[in-house]
Amino acid sequence: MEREFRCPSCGAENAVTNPGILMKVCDYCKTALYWDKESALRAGNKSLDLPQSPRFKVGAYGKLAGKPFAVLGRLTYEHDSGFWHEWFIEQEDGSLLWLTEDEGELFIERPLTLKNLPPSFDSIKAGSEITLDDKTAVVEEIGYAKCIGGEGQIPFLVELGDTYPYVDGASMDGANSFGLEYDSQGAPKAFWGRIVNLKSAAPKSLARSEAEAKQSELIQCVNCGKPWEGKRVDNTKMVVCAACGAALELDGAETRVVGLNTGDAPIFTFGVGVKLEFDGVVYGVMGRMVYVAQDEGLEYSSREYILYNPAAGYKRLSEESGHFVLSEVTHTHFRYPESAGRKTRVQIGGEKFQLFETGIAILRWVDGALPWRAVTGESTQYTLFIHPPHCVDYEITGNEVELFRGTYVTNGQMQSAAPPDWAIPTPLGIHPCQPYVAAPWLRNLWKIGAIFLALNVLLLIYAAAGVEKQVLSDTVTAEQYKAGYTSVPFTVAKNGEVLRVVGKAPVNNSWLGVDVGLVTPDDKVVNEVNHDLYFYHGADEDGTWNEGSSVFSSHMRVAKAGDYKLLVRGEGGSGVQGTGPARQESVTITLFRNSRMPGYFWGSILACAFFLLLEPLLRWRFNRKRWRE
Amino acid sequence: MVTVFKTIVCVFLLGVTVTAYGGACYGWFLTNPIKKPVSVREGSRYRHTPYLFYGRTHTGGGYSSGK
Repeated sequence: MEREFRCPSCGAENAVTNPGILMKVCDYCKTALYWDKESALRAGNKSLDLPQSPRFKVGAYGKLAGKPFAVLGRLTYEHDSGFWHEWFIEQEDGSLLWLTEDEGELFIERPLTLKNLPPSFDSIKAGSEITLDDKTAVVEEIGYAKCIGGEGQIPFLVELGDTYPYVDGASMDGANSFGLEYDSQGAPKAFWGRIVNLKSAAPKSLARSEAEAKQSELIQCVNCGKPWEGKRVDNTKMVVCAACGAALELDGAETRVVGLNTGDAPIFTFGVGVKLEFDGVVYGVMGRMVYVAQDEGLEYSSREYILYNPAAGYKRLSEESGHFVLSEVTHTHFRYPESAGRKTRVQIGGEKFQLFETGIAILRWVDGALPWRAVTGESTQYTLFIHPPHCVDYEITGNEVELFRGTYVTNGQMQSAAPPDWAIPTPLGIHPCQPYVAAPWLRNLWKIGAIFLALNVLLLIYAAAGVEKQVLSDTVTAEQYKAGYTSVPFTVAKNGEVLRVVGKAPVNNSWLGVDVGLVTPDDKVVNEVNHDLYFYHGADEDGTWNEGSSVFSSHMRVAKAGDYKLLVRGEGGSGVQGTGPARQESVTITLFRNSRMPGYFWGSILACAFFLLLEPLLRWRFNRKRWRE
Repeated sequence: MVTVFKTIVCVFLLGVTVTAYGGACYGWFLTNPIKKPVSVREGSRYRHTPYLFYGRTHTGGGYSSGK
């Protein structure tokens, strides 16, 4: 049921279309209009000129999750480091929804009636967990927000110009958001909602568009008087004067200096306004920052580019020693483990990350236009978790906790993202979230190694499992081997057959030299093995000792098949320098055929293992270097 | 280039596999001290050279190598 009335301030006609509406900002003079039960109108403060949104406009129609809606009104709040819009939309069935738009992010929220009072404003800390009845969430931001204005129809009463303590955050899994507004009277108002995935929400036609400059409104530097000539968008909170380096906060109706760049301007790879394309979305470089962190007395600087696309929102591109990481805000929280140290594993959104480093980063330089206030000299406590090529940066700045999920951008990807022929620096060293990328010649090399390793192991098993066949086993006495003992003839069935000769003698503090010859029927020696058997033992000041062996084993290859016999000769003795008496120890000679030497496979297995393990070894070395650097 | 490299690796590994197989099962690398047959009467090429262990020694003898 539409209700019409005249603005008590300017007399203009205004209409309210939804019965849930409790206030209206005059369409003409921007005065806040309130009415009570008796329908008496009261004029409040006037709204400031509000920044436009790239997505919504009061009076516009659209679709959300396939359902049509109409934008009835909005409120805009300003806080320490930026501002947000609250859009009030009416669905087809007349129900109202809140859409909060903050630094390019979207949250769909509804009022939440709490059974239990939330903690007091003063007791809440950024990063701490908070319980809202049966819901658990993490506090991301605490502060004071000033309602700087509104337009259209608004479903609750807000005094324009008033300041409210607020708390907001997200559920642990990052799917939901919450907000708490601590009014001076009554219980805090709670809101619970859903975080909208902008990738799925962005219309295709907008996804490829780039940031467009807001041409209206001249900004003049209050430090040097020169006009701001750079690009900015409607939700720009701060710009930096290119002439004097003064950071100018665009605070509602006024512009004021909040910081100043000093020293020489750092060298950036990308200038403000440069267009970079990632995943088919063109972003414009809106602002640039230089952070400096100290570690063991050394200073490490990193550059950050604030990228913006009206449909996709903001992204951060970090540059460090020629390495690039593209990040965006995430609300997926995790429980910070107690006694966390380097390499501590943390589960973040279903993925396992490792704590890489923690430290303090100081903002040394800022230029361009930013959607929040960033003042040189401000410090941020950061903790970096890595799961290459991804990383999560947990940052605490003042009363705000932010999480950024980043993905490493390779040099090739960066070349593709940048304008043609843009000079991209060569990466130096290894970046914490740089993934190991095997050289093309190394890729799948392990498969070749594995196939041949398996083949060699099978052949090794085959060779080791071969059963030798005993040809003869003769015990040869001292008299026989001194004179030359000849065995009974035996047949070698095939050319190249391998025989094994095993000799065993009961040497005891004595030695026995044995020659075993392979003899043809016409008494020609065609092959020969020779061994010294000795076994000594005794005791001295160090205790008992023994050395040598009473057994030998040797292989011989028979080139030609045929009949053969063994000829055994030997001599033995004892004592020092051959002064002891000769011994009469017999020797047992055993001959085997079909013999194999599987030990040869160890060399080939080693070669296969080398190719199998080369890539994993290089990966291991890369990771070790990552953690050492 | 990558294909050539991987082909070389395959050929190399095939080579070492065949070599190991030949060495293990066919005794390709067993050396024969007797280059051509020697008469039994000529004796072995081996000499049992003196060994000295903690002052103990032995000397030996054997065939002389054939020519």
